[in-house]
Amino acid sequence: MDDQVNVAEARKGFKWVGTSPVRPDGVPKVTGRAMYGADMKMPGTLVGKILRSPHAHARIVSIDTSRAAALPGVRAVITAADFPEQNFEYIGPERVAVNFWHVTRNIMAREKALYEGHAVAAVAAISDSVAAAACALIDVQYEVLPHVIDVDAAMAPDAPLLFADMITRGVEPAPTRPSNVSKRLEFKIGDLDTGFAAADVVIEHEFKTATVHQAYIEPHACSARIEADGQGEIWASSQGHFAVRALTAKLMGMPVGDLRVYPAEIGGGFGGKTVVYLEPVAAMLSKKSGFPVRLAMSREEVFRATGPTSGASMWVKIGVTKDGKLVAADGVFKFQAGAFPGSPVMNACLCAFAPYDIANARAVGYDVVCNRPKAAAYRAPGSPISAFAVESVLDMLAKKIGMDPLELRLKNAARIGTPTIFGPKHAHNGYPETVQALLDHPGYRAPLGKNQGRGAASGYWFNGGGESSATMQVNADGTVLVATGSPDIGGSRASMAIMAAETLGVDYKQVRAIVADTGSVGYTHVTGGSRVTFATGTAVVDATKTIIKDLCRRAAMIWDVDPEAVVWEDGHARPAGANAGAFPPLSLKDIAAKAAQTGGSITAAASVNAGGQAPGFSTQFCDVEVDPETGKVTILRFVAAQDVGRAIHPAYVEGQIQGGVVQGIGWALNEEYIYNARGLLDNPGFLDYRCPVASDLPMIEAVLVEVPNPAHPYGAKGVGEVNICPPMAAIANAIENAIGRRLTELPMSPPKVLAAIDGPDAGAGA
Amino acid sequence: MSKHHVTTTINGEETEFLCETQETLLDVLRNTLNLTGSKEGCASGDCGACSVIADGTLVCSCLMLGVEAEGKTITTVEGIADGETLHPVQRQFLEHAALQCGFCTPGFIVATKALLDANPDPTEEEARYWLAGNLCRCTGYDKIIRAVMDAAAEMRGEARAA
Amino acid sequence: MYDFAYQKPSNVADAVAALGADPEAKAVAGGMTLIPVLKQRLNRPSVVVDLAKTGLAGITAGAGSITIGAMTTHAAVAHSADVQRVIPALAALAGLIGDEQVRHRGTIGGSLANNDPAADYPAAALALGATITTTKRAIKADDFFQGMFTTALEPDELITKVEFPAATKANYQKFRNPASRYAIVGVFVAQTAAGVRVAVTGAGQGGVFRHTAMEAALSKNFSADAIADVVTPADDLNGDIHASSEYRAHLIGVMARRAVAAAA
Repeated sequence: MDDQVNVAEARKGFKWVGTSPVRPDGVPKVTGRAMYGADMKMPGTLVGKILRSPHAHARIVSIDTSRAAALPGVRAVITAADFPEQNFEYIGPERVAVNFWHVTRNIMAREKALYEGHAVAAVAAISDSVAAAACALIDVQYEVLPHVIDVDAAMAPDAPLLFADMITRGVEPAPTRPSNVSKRLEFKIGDLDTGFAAADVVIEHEFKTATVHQAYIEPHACSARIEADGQGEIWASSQGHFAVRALTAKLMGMPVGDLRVYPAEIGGGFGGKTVVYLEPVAAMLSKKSGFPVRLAMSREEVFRATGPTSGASMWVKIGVTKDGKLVAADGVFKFQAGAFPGSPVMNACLCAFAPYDIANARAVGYDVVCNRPKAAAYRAPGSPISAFAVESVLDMLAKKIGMDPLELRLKNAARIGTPTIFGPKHAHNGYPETVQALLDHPGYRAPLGKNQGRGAASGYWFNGGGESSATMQVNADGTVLVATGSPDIGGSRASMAIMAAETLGVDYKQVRAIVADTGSVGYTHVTGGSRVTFATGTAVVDATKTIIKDLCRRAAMIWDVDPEAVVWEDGHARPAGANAGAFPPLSLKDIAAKAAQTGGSITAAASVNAGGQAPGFSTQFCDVEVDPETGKVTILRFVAAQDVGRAIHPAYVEGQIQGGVVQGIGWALNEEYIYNARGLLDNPGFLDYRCPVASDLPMIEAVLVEVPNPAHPYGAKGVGEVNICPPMAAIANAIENAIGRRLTELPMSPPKVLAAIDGPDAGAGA
Repeated sequence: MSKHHVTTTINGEETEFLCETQETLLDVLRNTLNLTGSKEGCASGDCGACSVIADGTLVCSCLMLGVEAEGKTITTVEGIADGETLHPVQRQFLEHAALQCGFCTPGFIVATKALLDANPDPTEEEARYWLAGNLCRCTGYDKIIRAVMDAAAEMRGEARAA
Repeated sequence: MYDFAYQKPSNVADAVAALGADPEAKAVAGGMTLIPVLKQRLNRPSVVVDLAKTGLAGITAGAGSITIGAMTTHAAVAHSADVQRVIPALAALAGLIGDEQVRHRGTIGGSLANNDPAADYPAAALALGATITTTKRAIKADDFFQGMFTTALEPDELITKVEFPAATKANYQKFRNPASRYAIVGVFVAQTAAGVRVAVTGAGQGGVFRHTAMEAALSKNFSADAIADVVTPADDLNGDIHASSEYRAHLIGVMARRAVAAAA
C-alpha cells in the first residue's frame, strides 16, 4: 500500500487537477441549445425509415419494393442488395474481433431475419407519414422458422440453427456438426485437481443473468449526405465518429477519405454506441436519393434492434482453505451473443478471477448465437456478469469458513506481480486499497435493523488505452483551444481542459476544449473502455508539451537567446541559466501576440497509441431491506470505493461511479428482456423495461481511492466502467444476509425474492 | 387533411403554428418551431425528456397533441433562463456536475422548475418522487438531487443546503 | 399515429353530439392512455373530441361526500384540501398514480372510462361505492365496471362527475410496477355507511373486483387479523410479464392486511 497516495497530498502542487470546475460545454446543455443526433436538420433533408422483421427467425423468400418506390413522395427504397457483400473473416484482436460478413447482415438482413426488429429494408421520403406508408407497401415474403432465445436451449443438440454452417471455433479437432456455438474459449493457470485437493471448503453453484439494455436516453439518430461524386458527410451521435466513418465506409464500399463524420452531442452510450446501425443505411438512402437523409430510431427500435448485453448461464466452483486462502477456481460462462457471434464472453473469462491471487484457476467460455439482437458493449462488457457468479460464491465461502467477506477478499487480493489466467502478471496495485477503504468505512460496521442485510463485492476491468489524437492552438489573445477526437459523454472536455491548463500553467477558463470532426483532428478510437482521460488525456498533454517547447523557442527568439536558456514556469517563459532574470517573463498572451513575428500560428498536434493503462478495481457494499411479505428489495445505502488513479475532475469521477452503480442496481433488481413464446420482445419500452428512477434510490456514496498510474502524466486511470461490476453480487450477498436465502438468478425481482423466502435455501446444499 | 391553426404563448411570446392533428406538441416544438431542447427519449411519456410546463403544470409534451396547446402558455427549457442569466436550477446543475451526457437534462431542468414553483422547500424524498417521471441513465440521480436541493435553498434565499 | 379530425367543443352537449354523430369518434380527456394508443396505431378514430373546454373539472365537498368533476386531474385530487379532509385515502391514491407528469394531465373521468385493469381509481370507486354521473344517468360503481377496458358507458355517453361517499375508515395499498407505476396489485379497503368493501385492482382478469370473502370477514371484525386466513384463489387472476397469478393472489392478501391495518 506504499504507493497509495493521500488525496490531499496528491493534489499538492496541482492547480487544476483534482478540482471540479464547470464543464466547457455545460451551458448549452442546461439551456437546451446543445445539438444531439436528432437535432440537426440539413436543408432539404428526407425522412428515413426502416422496415423491420416481425419474426424472431425467418427466411426471407422475397422482397418486393416496387409499390413503395412508386408511392408519391418516396425518393429511395433500399434492401441488403444495395450493400456490397463482405468477406467472411474475423478482423482484429480476438477479444473484440469483427466479421464484416456478419456486420453487413446485422445492418440489413440478407438470407434470413434473425431476430424481431432485424432491419429488412429502408425508405427515404418527404415526410414521416409518407415514409411509414411506404414501409407498409414493401412486400416481404417470410418463411417463418423455429427460433431459440435462451442460451442453454440454443446449445442443445436439437436447437434450431441460426447459421447452417457454423462450426464452433476454438475446439480441436473441429466439430463436424454445425451448432449455435460460435466459439469456445479456455484460459487456465496451475492445476485444478491439486488446487481443489488443498481446499477445506469447496462451493459450486449455477447462476443466470438476464439480458439488459444500456438504455441510454437518446435513441440512435444521424443525418447523412452523400453526393454524386461519392463524397459525403455524416452527422451522428456516437461514441466514436472515427469508428462510424470506418464502419460506414467499409459497409458502403467507399474510400474512408470520401467520408467526413461530425460528432453530435451524444445522449449516453455506455458501449452501445460504439457500433453502427443507422449510419450506413442513411448514407445508402442518401446516395440513392441524392438528398440528405435523417434517420432516428424510436425507443421500441432501440430495444428491439440495438445492442443489449448478453444474458448468461454460468457455473462457478471455488475452493478455499479454512484460514481463507483461495486455492482453486473454475468457471463455465455461456453467453448469448444475439443473432451474430461476438458476445463479451472472453472478457467475462479474463475478468472473472482477476482481482484474486489464485494459483489454480480455469475459465471456459462459450459464445452462443440466438434469435435476439446482436449483443453490443455495455460498461465493462462481460465482467459484471462473471463477477455476479464469482463474487456470490466468494461470499458463500466466507460465510462457510466464518471470515469477514472483505477480509477474505483482502487476504487474496491481486497485487503487482500476481499471475493471471490470461498471461501477464498484474502490473498495478489498487485492488486491496479499495477493500481496505471499505473496511475502514464506518458504515461497514454500522448496526442493521430487522429484515436488513449488508453485502459486499468487488470487480475488475482492464481499462483501455489505444489511439488518440489532440491538437492545440494558442489564439492571438492567449486563449487556448484543445481539440480531440473523443466524443464527450460524461464531461471529458472538462478533464481535457484541466490537464491542458495544468500543464500549461494557465487558468482553466483560458482553455476551451472541443470535440473535432474526422476532418479536423487525427484518428481517435471510440470513447469506450474507460480510455479517454488516459489515452486522449495523454495526447492532450503531449500536444501541450510541444506547444510549451514552441513557446520557449519563440521567447528565445524574442529575447535573442539560446532556446535551451528558456524555461516554462507557471504559464510564463522565463530566461534561465546564465540569462536568469535578464528579461521579464513572457506570458502566454505576450508570446501569442507576437506569433506572426515568431513563425506564425502556434499550433501543435499529438497522436498516441497509449499503452500502460492501469486496470480498474472497485469494491462496494450496500445495505438492503427486504419486505418479507412481498419480496421487494429496497436499497438503503450504497458505498462504492474505486481506484481511480488520480481524479482529474473528481465530481465527474464520482458521477461515473454513481451512474455505474445505479445501472448495476437496475440490473440486479429489475431490468430484463422478456420474450414471449413466439420469440418476440414483450417489453420494448420504458413502460415495462424497468430502469431505476430517483425515488427508487438513496444517495450513492463514491469513495475515490487514488493509486496513481505512473504511465499517465497525472496518474489517471480509467474510471467509467468497473463500477458496474460489483453491484449485482453485492446486492445478492446483502439479500442473503437479510433473509438467509441465496439468489442466483437476475433480476432479483420481488416475485423471485419472495419465492426464495418461501422456498428451500438454494445455497444450503452447497 | 388540412392543418390546424394554433395560437399559444411559448416562452413568453405569442406563437402561432400550423399542425396536423397527429402531431404532438413535442413534434411541433422540435420540427416546426425548432425548439429542439425538448428531447424525444421514448415518445410514450415514460422518460420525461420532453417535459414542458403547460399552464403552470408539468407535462410530457410527447403526450399532448399540438392542437391541444391552443390558448395555453407553454414554458420549454429554452424559456427557463432570463436572457443571459441562467436560472438558479440551471446554474446548480452545472456546479454540481448534475449532468453527464446532458440529454435528460432539459427535462430535469423543467421538472425541477415546476417542482420549486409548486413547493419551494421540498424534502429530499419529495424531490425524488417529483422527479420519478424523469429518467437519467448517467448520474444515478445523486448529483441531480443535490443540485435540486441547493437550487431550492438558493431560491429561498438560504445558504447552501449541503 | 394515423391522421384524424379534431374537435374541441366548448360544452358537454356539443361533445356528446360530436361523439353521437360519428361511431368512430373518440373522446380525449387527459390523453395519458389515448395518445400512446394512437401512437402505437392500436386505435384509429375518425375524430378525436377534446373535452378540455367542457367545464367538467372541479371538486366539491358535500355533506358526507366528495364530488369530483370528470376532467379533474390526479394532481388536483391529490392536493385538494377537501379530498384530504373527507377521504384522505382517495387523495393519497391520486398521488400514487403514474408520475408527476401523468398526474398533471390524467383525469379521473378518463381513468374510470378507460377502466385499465391496473388503474387505481376503479378500486377507489368500487370500494367506496361511488356514483358515476354521466350525460345520461347515474351509475353505481358496482354496475359501471364490466371487465377489462369495458364499462357501462355507451359510445356517446360521457362521465361528468363522480361522487364518493365519505368513509369512516379507508386506505389504499398498492404494489406498483417499478417502471410504469401501475398497480401489480392494489387493494382499496373502505368502511362506509353502506358497510365494508374491499376492491382489488391490477390482479383480476376481468379488471377491478370486490373481494367478498374479505368483506365478510372484515364486516365482523375490521382488523388485519380477521383476513389473515382468507385465501385468494389464483385461478381468475391475471398472470403476465410482471407477475404470476399466484404472486398476485399472495399480494392481494398482503396489501389488504396492510390497508386494513393502516385504515383501522
